[in-house]
Amino acid sequence: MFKIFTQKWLTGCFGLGLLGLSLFVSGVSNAQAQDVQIATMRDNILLTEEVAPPAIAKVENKDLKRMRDYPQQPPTVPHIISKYQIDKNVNQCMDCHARDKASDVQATPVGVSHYLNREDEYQAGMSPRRYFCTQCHVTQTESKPLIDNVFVDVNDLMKPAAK
Amino acid sequence: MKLTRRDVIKAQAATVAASVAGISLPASASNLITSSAANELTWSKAPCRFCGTGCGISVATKNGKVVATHGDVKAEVNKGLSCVKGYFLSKILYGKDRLTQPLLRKRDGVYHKEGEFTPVSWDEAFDIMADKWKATLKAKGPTGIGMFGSGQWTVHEGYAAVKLMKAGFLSNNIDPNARHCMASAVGGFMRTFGIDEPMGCYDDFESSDAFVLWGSNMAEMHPILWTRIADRRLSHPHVKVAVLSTYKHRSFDLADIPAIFTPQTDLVLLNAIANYIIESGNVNQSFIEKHVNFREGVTDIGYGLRPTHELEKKAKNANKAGASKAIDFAAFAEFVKPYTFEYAEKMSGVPAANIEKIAKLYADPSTKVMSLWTMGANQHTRGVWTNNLLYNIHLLTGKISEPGNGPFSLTGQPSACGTAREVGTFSHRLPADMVVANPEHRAYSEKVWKLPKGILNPKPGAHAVKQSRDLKDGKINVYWLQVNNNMQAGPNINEEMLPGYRNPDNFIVCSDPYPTVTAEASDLILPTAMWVEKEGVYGNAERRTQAWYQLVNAPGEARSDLWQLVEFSKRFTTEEVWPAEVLAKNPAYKGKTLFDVLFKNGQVDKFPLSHISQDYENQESNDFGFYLQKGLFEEYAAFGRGHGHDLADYDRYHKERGLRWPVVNGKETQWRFKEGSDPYVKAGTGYQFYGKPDNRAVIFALPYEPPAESPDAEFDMWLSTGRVLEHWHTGSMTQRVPELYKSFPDALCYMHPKDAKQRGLRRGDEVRVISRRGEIKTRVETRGRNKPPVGLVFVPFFDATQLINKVCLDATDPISKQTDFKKCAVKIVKA
Amino acid sequence: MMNSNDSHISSFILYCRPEKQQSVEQGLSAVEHVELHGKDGNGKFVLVTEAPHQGIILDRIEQINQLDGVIDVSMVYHQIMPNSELGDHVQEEEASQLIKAKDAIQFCEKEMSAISS
Repeated sequence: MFKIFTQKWLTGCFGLGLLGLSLFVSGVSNAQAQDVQIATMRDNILLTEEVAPPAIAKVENKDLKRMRDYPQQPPTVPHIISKYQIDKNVNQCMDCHARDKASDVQATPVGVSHYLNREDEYQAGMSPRRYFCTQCHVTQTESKPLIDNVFVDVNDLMKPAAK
Repeated sequence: MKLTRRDVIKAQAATVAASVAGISLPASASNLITSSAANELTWSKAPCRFCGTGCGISVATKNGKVVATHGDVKAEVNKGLSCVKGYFLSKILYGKDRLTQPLLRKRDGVYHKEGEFTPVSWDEAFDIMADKWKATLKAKGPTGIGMFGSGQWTVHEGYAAVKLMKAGFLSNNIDPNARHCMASAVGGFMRTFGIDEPMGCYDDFESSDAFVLWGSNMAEMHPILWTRIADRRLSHPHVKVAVLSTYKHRSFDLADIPAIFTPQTDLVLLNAIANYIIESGNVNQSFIEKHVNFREGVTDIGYGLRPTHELEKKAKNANKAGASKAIDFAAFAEFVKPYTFEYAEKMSGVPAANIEKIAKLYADPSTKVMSLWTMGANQHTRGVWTNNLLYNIHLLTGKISEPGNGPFSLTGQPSACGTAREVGTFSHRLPADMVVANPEHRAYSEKVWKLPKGILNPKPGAHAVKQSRDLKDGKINVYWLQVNNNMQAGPNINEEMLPGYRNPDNFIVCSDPYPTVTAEASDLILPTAMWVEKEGVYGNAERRTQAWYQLVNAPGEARSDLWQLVEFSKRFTTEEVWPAEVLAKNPAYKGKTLFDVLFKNGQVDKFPLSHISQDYENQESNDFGFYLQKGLFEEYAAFGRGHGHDLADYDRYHKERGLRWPVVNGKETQWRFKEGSDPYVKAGTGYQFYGKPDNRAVIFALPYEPPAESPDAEFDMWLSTGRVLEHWHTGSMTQRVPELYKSFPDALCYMHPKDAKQRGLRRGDEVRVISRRGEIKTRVETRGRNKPPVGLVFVPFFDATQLINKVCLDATDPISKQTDFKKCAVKIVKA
Repeated sequence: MMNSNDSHISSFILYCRPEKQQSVEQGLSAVEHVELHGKDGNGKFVLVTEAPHQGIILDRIEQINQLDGVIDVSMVYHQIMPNSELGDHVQEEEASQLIKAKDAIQFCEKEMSAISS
């Protein structure tokens, strides 16, 4: 239905993707008196109390790409990275995620944004400012968040409009 | 207006083309589009909500919700980048447990200290607050009330809070949590330069030849500034990076010169470097002759503990910790002479050869060097000294205030500089570096604030740690916390904090978007609007002042801290809070509310609602009937204009990606104190450190002194606490973002494998971290991103279920009153 | 693919020499079915056109390209809709879903192209 002629036009695409949809957040209803233990992140433990901590959470290692909440969000890492060296000498992430190697191992190549320097010019290789991958790309453990987040993600918003 | 689908598509087509071309469409074309502004997808700018770096963020809103965020490509600071927390900013507003109504502890329908949290109206909330405040003021006077704010307050909020407390209630018992964070940096600046905040700016990153990190882990705590260092280092092979810390962390991944030192011995290393600069003949003699004075500070200054503590009773100069006497260069050289590399190696554990490598970066006149530090240097019982000693080595070599050369004190909160420091929300301060103890400063403030002469309180109030002690001791009885989570972030929770909050004589109010542990420890919780739910201004670590508009409405009845402060002021008349003799002498102030004299004073209410951008909401202004933020900002700016702290007109900040003060003749200042780049420096002088009366900065002779508590036979390990990349401070925002939570769900005790083995522990074992003050349960991690040396453990403080600050000592720097969260003695035992 | 019951709506950015913008604007008014939606006064114009098929649009671009002073005409947006739907009245709410860039759009284009490509 649409044709994309410029990259910026994608913005428009999102605009239309959002047609007719309304976002809503269900606020917590406080109609009734609440307990004194309201610190949700404290997980019902008294402030003076100490309980056994959960076991160290395992890193998810399924290599399944996860949905992003919005296109600008850096993808989370779907595999264990603890054995990979990333320092001033070596960046082992790039053994698979570099543009010229990604297809060999079916990895996601780094986005073209990673080739831009501070002056917004494309470089032959990845910009050193993007060198330390883990500043933006993090692994996910098998833990369950204590509190839900009611943010509505852009991908969900686009589905009904795409028909 | 009847529209067809054709009209809509054509308008859509035109709008997209216009935006690509950078053309604004004529009104006829855009009418169609603006007919229902609330429903559009809109991109706006805002500074990041987290650390002191001050990244510019592009924020997309849709149907009154934030739907996406990313690094602003136009922002000088980050040029389109953002760290993982910044990318997830969109979600911090949407934790499912947002507070939407005030909650008061009630039993049988009335307030009760041990009651259950019950929803009440704002009216009822303010009624009981006003009652408690008035009763306390009557019984104890201004020292009976207290307020604890934050370097996350917007400039407007901090300014309104200072005015309400200092000019309204005549109480100096207001302090920000920046006391835990930046007070030693402030002390260092004031002592060495007589004026606060860095002389250089982030542009230094692109011209330095060497970066030296003093106890800072920028890779995790200032990731975007780290990208600028990584960029410089990796694209210019001659550039060197030295990382000094008490344990190995991610910043070491870029280190050419790594150095792990014994806690507290940074004092030795800094003096050893100063000694080397002198002995190797690399002192910039003409610079120190023209621009520097030498002084020797008093020693044996104690540890900022309660005066009854043994260590305080023993300390000779605990009462005059900041005192010093003039000396000359020869005396200074003599003072640092014992600090040889051999002595430094013995004390710190860093091999002499590595110390020499670092010293040479400073000593070599052709190497431009940047020193960077944050909490490692500031959260230190000799934090002000450490800051002074860092400036010493830059002043000895004249490596200061020029591109690539400079000492750079980083900050941890988004407006630690802009609000806590510049606005002056500390218990001893007034705006623009002025202090309450100075009669001229008070007189000037009274004039700007249009107050009766002589009304301001000259006695500095209680600082952060003293506030907790005063609550416990029943000296402060009503207490209002805004934008902080001190029950998790403050030191020695069991002994010095929780007892004060739960003291039956005290009434504690906590304003927060979420039910934090501090909220749980309080009696009244006020639901608060956060970040882009209000208009605001933040000031980052490089003096950059950045503004944003209110982009979405807060949920339910949540209101900004600013609204809460101004609305609360309506509940008090001058007769209730000011001395009768002052009113007798100044009858014009009689019968007025604090709202009238503080905010509806002809200045703050000067700008009509029509000055507000038509494109954005402004809850507070619409409620009070004038452009509150502009009025507050312009009145506040009067303090600094012409005094080295010049700010631009308010409206300009909405158009710019921030400006670095002083902004003189419309131009920002990148390097202060240097002729040619700072408009305050006179031609022909080269440099003027104009914070000091004779325009000279001070090099301080200060020794090594031991920490307040060191490991011994029973408590045999050092404990250092801190942050992790994914979580910001107490995690009250980031722990509610699922991706950030799942990346780093629980705190861990990072430990050397040998230490673990010695205690019969394996990775993942449950342990108790015990100090003389308290304990927590956690799990041992012998791998991962932090690798402590033998004898030290690291536990982050973001996890509300593992309150590591129960274990920490409330020792502070005696000059800055900042807590040392980086070193105390603990033992680790299997649970 | 092509359907005679469809209509094509497109927008373009026209770049011309600034000194020729008046004559270009005059020339545009003579091109049928081309609407002028905006200009920056410095040689840039935003144009919208509608046609039964793409070929006609290309012809019109060609025609505009011939005007004296025109440097480039580039297509930005193209949408195909059944004619039968174009005349429908729409709710104001729906119309207002359009994007309006208050602060020049910066949707991290580079990131986007990486995703789309």
